[in-house]
Amino acid sequence: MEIILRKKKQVKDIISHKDLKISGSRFRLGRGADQDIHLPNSRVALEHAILEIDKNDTLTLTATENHSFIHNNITTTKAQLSEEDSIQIGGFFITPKYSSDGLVILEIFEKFTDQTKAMKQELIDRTSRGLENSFLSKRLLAFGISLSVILVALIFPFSYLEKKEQSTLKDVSNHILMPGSLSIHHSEFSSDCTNCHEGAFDSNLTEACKSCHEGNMDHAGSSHVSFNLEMESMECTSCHWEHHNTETNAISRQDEGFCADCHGAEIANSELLIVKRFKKHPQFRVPYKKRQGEDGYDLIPISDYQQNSELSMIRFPHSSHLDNKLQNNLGQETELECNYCHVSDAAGEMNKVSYEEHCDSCHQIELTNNSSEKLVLPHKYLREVVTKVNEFYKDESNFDVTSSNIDSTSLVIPGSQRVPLTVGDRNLNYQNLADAKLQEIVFYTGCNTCHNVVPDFEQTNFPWKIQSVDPVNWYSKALFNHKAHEGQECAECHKGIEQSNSSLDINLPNVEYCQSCHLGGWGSPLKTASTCVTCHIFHIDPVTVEPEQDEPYQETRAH
Amino acid sequence: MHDSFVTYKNFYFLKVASALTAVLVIFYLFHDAYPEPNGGSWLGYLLGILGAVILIWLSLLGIRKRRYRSSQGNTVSWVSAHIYLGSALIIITTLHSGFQFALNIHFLGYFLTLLVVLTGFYGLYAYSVYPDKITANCGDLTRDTMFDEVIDLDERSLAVAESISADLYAQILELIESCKVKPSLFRQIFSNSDYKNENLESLVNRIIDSINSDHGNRDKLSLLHDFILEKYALLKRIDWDIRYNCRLNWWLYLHVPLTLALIAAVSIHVFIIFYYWW
Repeated sequence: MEIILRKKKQVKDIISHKDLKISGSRFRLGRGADQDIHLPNSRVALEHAILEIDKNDTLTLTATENHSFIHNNITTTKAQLSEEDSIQIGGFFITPKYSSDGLVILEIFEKFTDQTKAMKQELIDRTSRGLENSFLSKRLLAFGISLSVILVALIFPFSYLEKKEQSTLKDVSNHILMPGSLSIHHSEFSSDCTNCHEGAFDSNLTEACKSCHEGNMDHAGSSHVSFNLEMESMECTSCHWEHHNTETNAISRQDEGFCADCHGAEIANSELLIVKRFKKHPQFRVPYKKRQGEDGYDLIPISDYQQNSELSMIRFPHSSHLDNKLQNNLGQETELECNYCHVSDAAGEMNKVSYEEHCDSCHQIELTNNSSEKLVLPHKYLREVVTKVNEFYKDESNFDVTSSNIDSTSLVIPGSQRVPLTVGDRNLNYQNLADAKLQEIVFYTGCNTCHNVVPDFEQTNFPWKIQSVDPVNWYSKALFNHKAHEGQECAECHKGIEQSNSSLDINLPNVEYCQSCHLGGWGSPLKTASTCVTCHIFHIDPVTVEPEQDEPYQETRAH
Repeated sequence: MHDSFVTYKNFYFLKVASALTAVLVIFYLFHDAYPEPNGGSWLGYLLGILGAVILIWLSLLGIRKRRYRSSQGNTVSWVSAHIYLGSALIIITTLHSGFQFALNIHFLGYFLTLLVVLTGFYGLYAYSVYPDKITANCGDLTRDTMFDEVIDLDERSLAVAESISADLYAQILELIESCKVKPSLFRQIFSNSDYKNENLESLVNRIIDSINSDHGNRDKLSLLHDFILEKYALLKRIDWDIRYNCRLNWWLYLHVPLTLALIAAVSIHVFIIFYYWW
């Protein structure tokens, strides 16, 4: 069957039309270009409806799924059309008509008047247009914000760089540029960057440093540095860094890399071992014998030490002092802990163990006279002991030579069997008694308990002397503060100390033990930080305990 | 299967970004920086350079997405990489800073980085939520066709009203001329309540009253009533369309300008660092 499509068009008041003949019984209406009846309007779906015509020229319009049309002002999805009915699909008005020769004519008119356009535009004008059409522009915003950043962060601070007068704005401008505050030492210069930074793109601040520190430039221990470093070529900033907000206000570098720059390789004319970082630290070394022909000691790695020390040390068995019930001079029972003798000061520095403070209460040497009065003999100076003992026995009122209270078996001659003095010897004169008592104290009950007594044949009346103790600082190149480890038991680091029977046992931790908790540098989530300067001081002479000069202790002789 | 920019190639760029940040975090944790972690150590410089390179590359997305003939990867892959490497930038710049913050130009770069990435996170959320909402709200229509529908209903309403009474025609005309859908920016972004037009509702109530009293024009009044309610529904959809589109796009008005400001801040940061050789 054939139908005529009459597409009407209105230009101003003139309406024109164009006829198109199509044939078939089923016609598709829609916006799609493949539709039989093409309705190019965005309010029309691609396939909007189906128009069917039967043998009786009856027209039926059916909307496709989810679409509808308006039939005689009623929105519907299906309608049987009669002549002059009004169908509206989107902006199109369709009216079926019949020609005089019985052909079906579909008049299609797109209503798109100036009035409609004007009404739509007015509605759009009254409606929000969205951000895209607003006064906001991404480019304008980007330009504005970027320009603000440049003004505030670059132009403003640099415009104040050359101004010398101080003001709040200049202070603000400096802080805008400054990456971190200055240490307390240089904080007064923070108001003006040009106090130190004289030239652009120049890391050399040495001249600026010299302007204040002239005359104090050779402060880095040049005697240690000069043989291997060309100090003249170094800048202050090689060793000192600012703007780092350190808690200690330290500006001297303390990182491992700083030390490893030199110590990471062999140093000429030096016995120093190579250390690149703490993880590769050489084994700790301890002194074990005096260096021949010069001061100091030969060192041995603690891992190689086998109680082979040739140093003179006091005799002290830790085992008998720890975990044992002891008796003091008053006959009272006491138990010792490590901290009875090893006491640190408030700063964590371990005090020296002294006889007077730590030994005297149990190991006091005394003589008792007839009246049960006790004469305490002095420690440290054998000469005084000899004098005191001689004086004691010279005064017969102190004892009764005939008394059986004198324990003759206790008075023995050194090097001999413990043969008691005869009564005759005892009575011969007080000197025999004094000598015997003296020898008893020196060789059996007193000095020899802790000290080596060695012959001194230069002396005729008492040819013995107390061997001097070598003033050893075991880890002399390092500093160690016990305070940082006070939460630990002593034996955790000083392993085996409770079982130690000899002073030859060193019982100091080795490097592997320290590394089990400490990592070089600034640590890690698992290990504690420790840089070189945690234990070492920059180019300071080896830390040693010097003998006390005012009270000579060595080679104390008896006369 | 469709690959979105989030799941692109089975989260390829998520894996790349995660691996990169994990390696950098491990480096950071075990890095010996003096005197504390900072941008001036070797790792600090590495992180800074990496962050700057990523920043520049991320900002090139704005150029790449306009080059339809580019052979440098498809846009989906670029967006996917943009999202995940952009997220990694938070970690990279934080590590670069060494957690040292102060009110200066160096911190400004970090702060802008955070803002840019956070607005980007919102954009990711918006792009995953609002396109579906826009489609569900509009159906087959666009906003322009909805306006056409509204105008059509207006014209038909006027025609019906004219056939009832001059007074009703005037009321409909007044309603049409006063009708607007203009939610504020705040409402567009934050409000979830429906569009409300009290004039329209008032007129609908008056028509309902007339339907009950004016039996002669009951059919026409009912038709008019339906037209106005249909228009009201369309206006609500237009309102939601405006809001959804705003919510889909407003973050770009921060993300893009702040990105350029960030590039400016980073450039100044680098310039000052080398100007003073800190």
